[in-house]
Amino acid sequence: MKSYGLLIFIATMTLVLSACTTPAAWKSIDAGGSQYANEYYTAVLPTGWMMKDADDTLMISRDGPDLQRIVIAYVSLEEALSDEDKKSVSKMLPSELADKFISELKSSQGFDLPSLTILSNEPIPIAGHTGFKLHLMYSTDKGLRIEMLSVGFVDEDGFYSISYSAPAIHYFANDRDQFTSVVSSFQPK
Amino acid sequence: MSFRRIALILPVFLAACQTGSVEHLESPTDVQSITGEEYRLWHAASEFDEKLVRGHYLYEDAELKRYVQSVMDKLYPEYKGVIHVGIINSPDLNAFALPNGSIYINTGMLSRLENEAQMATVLAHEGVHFVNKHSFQQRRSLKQTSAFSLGIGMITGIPALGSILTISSIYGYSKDLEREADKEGFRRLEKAGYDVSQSPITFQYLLTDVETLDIKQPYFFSSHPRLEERIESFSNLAAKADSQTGSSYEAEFQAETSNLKLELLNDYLEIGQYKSVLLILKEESARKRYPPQANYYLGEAYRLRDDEGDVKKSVDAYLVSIAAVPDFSPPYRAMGIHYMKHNEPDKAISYFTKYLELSPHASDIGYIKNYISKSQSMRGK
Amino acid sequence: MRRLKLSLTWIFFLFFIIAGCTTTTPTAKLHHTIKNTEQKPQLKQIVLLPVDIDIYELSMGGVKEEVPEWSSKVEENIHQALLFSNEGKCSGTVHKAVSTSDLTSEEREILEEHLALFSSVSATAIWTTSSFNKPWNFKQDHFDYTIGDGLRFLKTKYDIDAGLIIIGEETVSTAGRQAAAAFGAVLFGIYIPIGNAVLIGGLVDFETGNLLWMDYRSGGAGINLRELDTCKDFVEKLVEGYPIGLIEATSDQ
Repeated sequence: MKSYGLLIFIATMTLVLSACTTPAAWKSIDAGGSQYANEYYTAVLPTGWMMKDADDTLMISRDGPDLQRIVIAYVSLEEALSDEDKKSVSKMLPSELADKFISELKSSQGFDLPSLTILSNEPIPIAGHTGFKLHLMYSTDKGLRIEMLSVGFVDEDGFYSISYSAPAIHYFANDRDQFTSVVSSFQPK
Repeated sequence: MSFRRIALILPVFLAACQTGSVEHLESPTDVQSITGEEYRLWHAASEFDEKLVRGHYLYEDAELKRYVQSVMDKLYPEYKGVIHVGIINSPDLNAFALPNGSIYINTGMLSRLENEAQMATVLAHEGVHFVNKHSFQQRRSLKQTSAFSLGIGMITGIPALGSILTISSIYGYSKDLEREADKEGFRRLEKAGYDVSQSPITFQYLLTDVETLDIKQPYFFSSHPRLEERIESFSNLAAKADSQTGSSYEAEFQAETSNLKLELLNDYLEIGQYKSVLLILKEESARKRYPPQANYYLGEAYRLRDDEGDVKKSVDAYLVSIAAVPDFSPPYRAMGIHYMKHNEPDKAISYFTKYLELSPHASDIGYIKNYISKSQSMRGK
Repeated sequence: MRRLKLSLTWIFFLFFIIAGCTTTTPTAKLHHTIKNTEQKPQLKQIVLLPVDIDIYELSMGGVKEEVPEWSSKVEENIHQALLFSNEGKCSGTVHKAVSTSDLTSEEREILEEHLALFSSVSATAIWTTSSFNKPWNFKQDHFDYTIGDGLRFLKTKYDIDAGLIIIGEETVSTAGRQAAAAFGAVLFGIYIPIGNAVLIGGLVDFETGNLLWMDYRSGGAGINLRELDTCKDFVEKLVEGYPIGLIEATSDQ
């Protein structure tokens, strides 16, 4: 049996430096194609950005993933869990889901975890559900502060997360509104 | 392999064999005259110190740091101002010395010890690694070993690998150097007036934790064989000690570190390791070593495990915490969530309200208000 | 000034994919606001921000450690190459160097975080404009990278328009490793890496934070930045595409 925690971790792994060195997978989000859809969700993506679509995870960036990125991840409950776990996870309260998300971040390797600071953690209405919204910050060992916003919720089908991360200097504030727009437009299928 | 090839390779091996003994620090002023290769190691250690600060790895409690430093200064009075102790915010069982006199001990280590004599045992041991320049000795040995294995690699085609500063903190030193650290550290404990019978007990405690929690970390102090070596080494030293008197300063230590025990439990839950919390707290005798608020964390661990019967166990644990420490707020939130999930909105609202009364600036206030609204709408259904 | 540890491992990887042992192809980037326009901003003053170069020694067994005295020597060489040379292409590159002792501790922290950001921005800029990264190559024509306007305090404090940032790294093998590499290659056909160097330069407009110019140079084991002349040559190659047309000639240069 796979653990749900492990799959959340896989989803959140996209938040760390990874998978950006296969440039052939990137393509432009042009004005005619900003409405994105796959079999699990739809969202409106910012035009002029670039996107990289890999199975259940979508990454978009304007200047390059290390300078800003929005990652949408989906984890299916059906594939991940036993019947008992499906029942408990689908009933998780938003605060419990947030705790689980944070614990997976903190226990994943290769992440600047000791400095992970939770700036805020609050409920958020999203796509007809109540989810969690986390505002986090951590520092790289070079002293560069990275800010993150992560929104997540669970429905009867799976766990969805939308995360935005960028250096705190200049970049984070620049595209925060874009992240808000993506979240507002997000709809599970 | 032709003789000619071996003859050509041999000088490579010989060139790598830079032998020569490493002189220990005779006095604190010796640190001012380090040069060359040793200076590089010192520089790398200082960079490591800065990295710990920049990455917010350190546990920021000035009083606790002052206390731990004072114990180190008692053990190494002549190195006061040269050896600096830092506390790393991590539940892992680890402590290590850097070549520049920075010595670090994890909150996970501190929270598991019982008294000052046990902490002094660890600090005294680590101090010897610095004074006797074990990092530098080990590094030279590593370079030679690596060079040798590179030579082998040239024959076998497998490239050699090397590590730098953290190798000593993770894997420890050679058996001989570790025994040297035990012996000289033990002398420091005696001289500082500590109860030396606590020294083997220190490692027995750590070994019990490693076995109970099935800890599989790469650190020296989490290694089963390394801990067994320390127990044997310190038991022998304690048996031969001139004096069996000495103080353990348990009350002082508990006063300074009691918060760490609860933080350890919280840290484990934060990284999803509820099983560790259950293992630590399952025996009542073990729970007595922790403040009564630990019952809340036990309740959370039962809730997360969610086996048959765990719901009742979690509620019972929350209630024990509330009875023992009525102004500790987290169990009220936990009870509110419990009753909300079990369709008892009035009780849920009552507990949530109490939680907000005790923690009006709680970071999760948004959720709690949301849950109160949800519970209010459940009334009358 | 605390030293920023710059990990350029993956940039080295890119370099060797892009350009082999030594880059000679044009890699200079100009900000799109100045690239195709007749009117270039006139910068009265350009300073050299604290240079961050790390020089490592690689032992025979592959143990890599920084040699701080070498790092200091190379930083000094770069200062000389950029500040004191009045001949050749480096003439008028920078007017002076910012000394961290002039800054408050808060200003130093801000500066250091911006230098850390430059490290990320430059690495990203190299990645997006590399020839194998076609989908992102629009960034080559529309180079718009910035480190934000957080260093504007330097403009105010020192009446300076822009800053030149130089970061880099060099790895030098010990004699033993070089010998082992030679033996390995000759006797067994085994490749043992023995060293490389990379410098990245960027000109930052303090008012906007825009990277007006950026370039990089890399070299193989033959480079020795500790030698002043070699370092000067390497730095001159780095600043070949430097937009000196931006600099208003002043009588007090």
